Amino acid sequence: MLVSLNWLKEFVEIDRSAEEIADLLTMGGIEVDSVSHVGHELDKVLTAKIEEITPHPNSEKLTLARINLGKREVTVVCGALNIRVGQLVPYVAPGTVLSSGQKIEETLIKGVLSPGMLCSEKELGLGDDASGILVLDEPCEPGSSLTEAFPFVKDTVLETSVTPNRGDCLSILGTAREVAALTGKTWKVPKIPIERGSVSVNERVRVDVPDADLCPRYVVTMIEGVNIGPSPLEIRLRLIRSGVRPISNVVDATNLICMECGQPLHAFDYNLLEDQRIVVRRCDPDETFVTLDGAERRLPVNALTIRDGKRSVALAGIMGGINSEIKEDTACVLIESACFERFGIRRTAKALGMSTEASYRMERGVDPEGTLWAAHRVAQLIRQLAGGTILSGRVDVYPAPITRPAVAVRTAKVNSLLGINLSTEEVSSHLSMLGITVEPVGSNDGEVMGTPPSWRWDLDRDEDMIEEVARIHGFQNIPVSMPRYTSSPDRSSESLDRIRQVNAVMNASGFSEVITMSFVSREAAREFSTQPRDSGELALINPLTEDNAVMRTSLIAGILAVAKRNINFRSENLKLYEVGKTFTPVPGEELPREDLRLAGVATGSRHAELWNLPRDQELDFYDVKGVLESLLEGLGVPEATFVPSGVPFLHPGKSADIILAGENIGFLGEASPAKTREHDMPGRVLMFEILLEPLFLGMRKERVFTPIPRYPYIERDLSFIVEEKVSGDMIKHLISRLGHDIIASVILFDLYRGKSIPEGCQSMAFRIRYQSEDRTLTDEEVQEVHARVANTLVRELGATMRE
Amino acid sequence: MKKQLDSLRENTLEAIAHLDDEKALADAKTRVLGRKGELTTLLRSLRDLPPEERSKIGLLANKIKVELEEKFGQKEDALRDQAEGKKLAGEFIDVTLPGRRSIPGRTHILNRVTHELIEVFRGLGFQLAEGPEVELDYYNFEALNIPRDHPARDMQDTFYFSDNVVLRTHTSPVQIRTMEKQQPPVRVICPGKVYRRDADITHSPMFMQIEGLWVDRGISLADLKGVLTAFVHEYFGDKYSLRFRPSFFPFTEPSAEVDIQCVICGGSGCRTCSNTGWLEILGSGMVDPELYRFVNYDPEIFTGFAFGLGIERVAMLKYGIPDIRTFYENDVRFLNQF
Repeated sequence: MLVSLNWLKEFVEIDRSAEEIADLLTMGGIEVDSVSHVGHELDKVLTAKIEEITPHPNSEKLTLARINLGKREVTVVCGALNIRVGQLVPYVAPGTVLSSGQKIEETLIKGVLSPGMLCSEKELGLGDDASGILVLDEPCEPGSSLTEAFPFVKDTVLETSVTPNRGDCLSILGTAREVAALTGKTWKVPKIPIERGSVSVNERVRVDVPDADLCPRYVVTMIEGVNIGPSPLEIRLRLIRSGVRPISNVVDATNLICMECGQPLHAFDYNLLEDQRIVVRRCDPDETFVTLDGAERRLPVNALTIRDGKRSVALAGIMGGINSEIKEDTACVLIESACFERFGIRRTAKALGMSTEASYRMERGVDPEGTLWAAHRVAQLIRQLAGGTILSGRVDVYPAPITRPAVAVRTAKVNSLLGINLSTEEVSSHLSMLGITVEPVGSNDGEVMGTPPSWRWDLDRDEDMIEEVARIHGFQNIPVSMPRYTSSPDRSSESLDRIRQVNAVMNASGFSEVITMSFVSREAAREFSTQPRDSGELALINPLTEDNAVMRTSLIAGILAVAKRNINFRSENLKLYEVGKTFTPVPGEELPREDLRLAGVATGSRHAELWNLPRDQELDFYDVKGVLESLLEGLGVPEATFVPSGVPFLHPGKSADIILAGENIGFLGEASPAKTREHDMPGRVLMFEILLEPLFLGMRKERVFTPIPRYPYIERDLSFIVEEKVSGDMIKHLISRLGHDIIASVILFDLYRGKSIPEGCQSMAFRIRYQSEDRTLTDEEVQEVHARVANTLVRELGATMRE
Repeated sequence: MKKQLDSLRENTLEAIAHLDDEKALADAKTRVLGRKGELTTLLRSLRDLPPEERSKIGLLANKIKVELEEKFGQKEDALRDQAEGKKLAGEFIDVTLPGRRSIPGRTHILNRVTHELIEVFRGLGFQLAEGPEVELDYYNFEALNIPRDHPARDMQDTFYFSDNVVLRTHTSPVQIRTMEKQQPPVRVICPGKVYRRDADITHSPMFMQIEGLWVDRGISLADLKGVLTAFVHEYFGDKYSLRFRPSFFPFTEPSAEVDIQCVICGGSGCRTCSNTGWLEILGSGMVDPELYRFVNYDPEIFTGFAFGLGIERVAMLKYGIPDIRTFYENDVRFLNQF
């Protein structure tokens, strides 16, 4: 909310600088976002009286205005059509710089020298009106400075951000009360003189509130014989500086008083109301209504409307209707000042997607005891601005007055919750500063009863009262202490520690972590999903864009997009991974399953481009498999196995599923040529994704010591040609099985396919290490087993031994 | 015989002194000391001498053998050192060239900062707690004292899956889930991703928060100030002061916004702190007793405080990163800086 300091001073005495007040409010809980000094640059603008207007010799559109500046006269060229002899207007002399930065010079305009110029509201930074010269509406001495003649032009505006619980501070009055409480001053409201006509408002209108549950209080006042016109500069400026656009005197008056005391007000053109009636009730089913902004709206169920004898004329507490709005010819004004039920207003505004100055305040609660004051105040202002007669009598439908129950405040609790040591007197005094009525409880001197003022909707429990004590006491005056606790072993970070382990392995393997959005487009979600097709995705009702419409079921799409983006910036050698959740709807459950996954995408060269590293080696399947093997080993789950995969977006011959305890927990492989093309990737793309929970669960908790071999080993090589379809794992298992207990390890140290090897076959070379735990092996013993291994390979796998 | 030995000794010593080639020296050594060498042959012929002379000459011969062996050894060492020195003088590499290595990757800066924060808070006595990202309206709002029609809901633009299921807008639901599961004392921090329907230079629709909750007997606002002051001093440095100012959160009462002295300008006022000298960094407060009603704690016995901070905000301040979107663009030139 924008708070004019000039205006604020009408409600509370201020003897500090604007900055000090801003700081005080901020530290008191009303955050001041900015302090702007406005109008100070207008000291150099002079008031001028137009003495004579003559045509410009060379232009039909321009005129020459001879103006009186008190001690001297000048003639300036003017392009505006609204100037008349006798008007007082603002004049800027050559050399003056306007707030827009524009510097005024003596210029030749169509052959006539113009020493300075007359200004519009907009040129002076006083408003948006650029249609003509600003005509000053109060008499003043020509030649005096604008800010001297109209001191209100200079002001300081505080921008406050008011938390949702403090609707009472959405006004000048509310801010004044807060300033008063924080500075120890008292706030005051202006007296309203009573000048009323003989006709009673009750003779002119009948008001019924059948839906009083949504409208606790409804006050009406009327002014007859008004003249609609623009408001004077001071009123317009106040509105503009409060962020409200001036419209006409009557509407401006309602807006101004709303800003002043926080009570939304609405002005109807009385003559447009049918049957001289006001009825406050819920809308009809499927009712449509055209609001002031010209929009036709279908009203939601239970929307509260203000109606005349026949139809809706306003959407209660939100916006008036076009059918009863104030127009240039309005002669009789009916003002509504009401207190609507705040949650009802919020439901309707929310359903209609509307938020207005009125609804914003209504939702946060207006002062039910302030409605009548606001009605009188606005009537008085309208009379002042637009003339007319205020009708006598009153319409005030307030069947069940809103009361604020007293709250028990215990000094001991205040002190223990805040960690301070106040006396009951201090507590009472702090509360009193805020208009809370404090009464002692006879039996207990450590307890008082506090009754909140009518404008506070947020003080119904002792904690609320304690917060008020703390605010007035000052948070900065609360001491600093450390809580005590009994320490105990902390196992809570186990899963985090494992994720750190994953990070350590991935980082050591050259992979950098990315964080991508948890939501993706529907297409992306399907593209890399390995979930059963029918499990579907979790879709947002209100996504920001279609690009993030559903929750991801795989991390691949996000990482691939990151890879693509980096490639576009010419970072082409990429090893990226992410640890994050995927989301799968679970039938019959409200919440989806959230699975923690590790996924990665790699592309480009195997080695950094460095003088001493091999060049022209592209990353391949085995690079990524190696990383995953390191990970599995690091986490202590070496029993996971890799089997050929059928994942559709991967190369059918260069992809694997990862199996742990019989469950498929992930995949790795080269992206299929189609996918690589589709995503416009410049080279081979490797990708993997693996569920982390099964790995963490499968982790070997405790390691067992294995004695270190004490006897020497003997190594023998086996080199043979075998069909390609015979896998390395098959051979390894076969060899290990045949080795009894004397084979310590089997390592493939050479693999070759191609020239000089028959089509469909491969040449493999294994190194077998023979070793026993209890003796030194003899050559003969090893030779026998080695020969048996070779024979079995030939017999069972059709291998042809080489050499 | 003696003469023979003396002359062999002299000749050999002279040869050793003059030879400056390892090969020639080795040949000379073989010629004298080898199996068929001159000295060996002489020694072998000792057995033909009469016993009294044999022992005398034998003694001399052995003395000469030891001497020659030593001299050969010395010369060998000298020549090897000389040759090696020459070889080393010709051998050098450019030690300024980079070594052969694989470049390690990095953990994302936001996760690193999260881990750092967790460590600080664990040191202050907190344990870790986690909860789902897709959350029930009940945990995200209702049980946190944010009823359906309350304007406080406007503080957070929410992504919905249905009327009852949302993407959590803060990590606060973990507070409720934790308190549901255990009686006080509760001391937890809850890091994680949160989501709000907002995207511009200062907002990302997904971001990260860390939440803290401490509930026990006799916990006060002064304790909240103590713990958060300790945290800020530990993480940012103890030259930064803090200020606590009243604010509003539906789930705390009293509520406090915590500002730290601007880490960019040190409090003198700059663009980052909008010339206020202060940076808003934490939301906090005493747990609203309304929450205890949902989790069956007795508010007359237990009190507590809670706080939450944005990880991105912390990282942006600590590293001077101007735009929150940078974190989620994942440009490797950014990722590799940390």
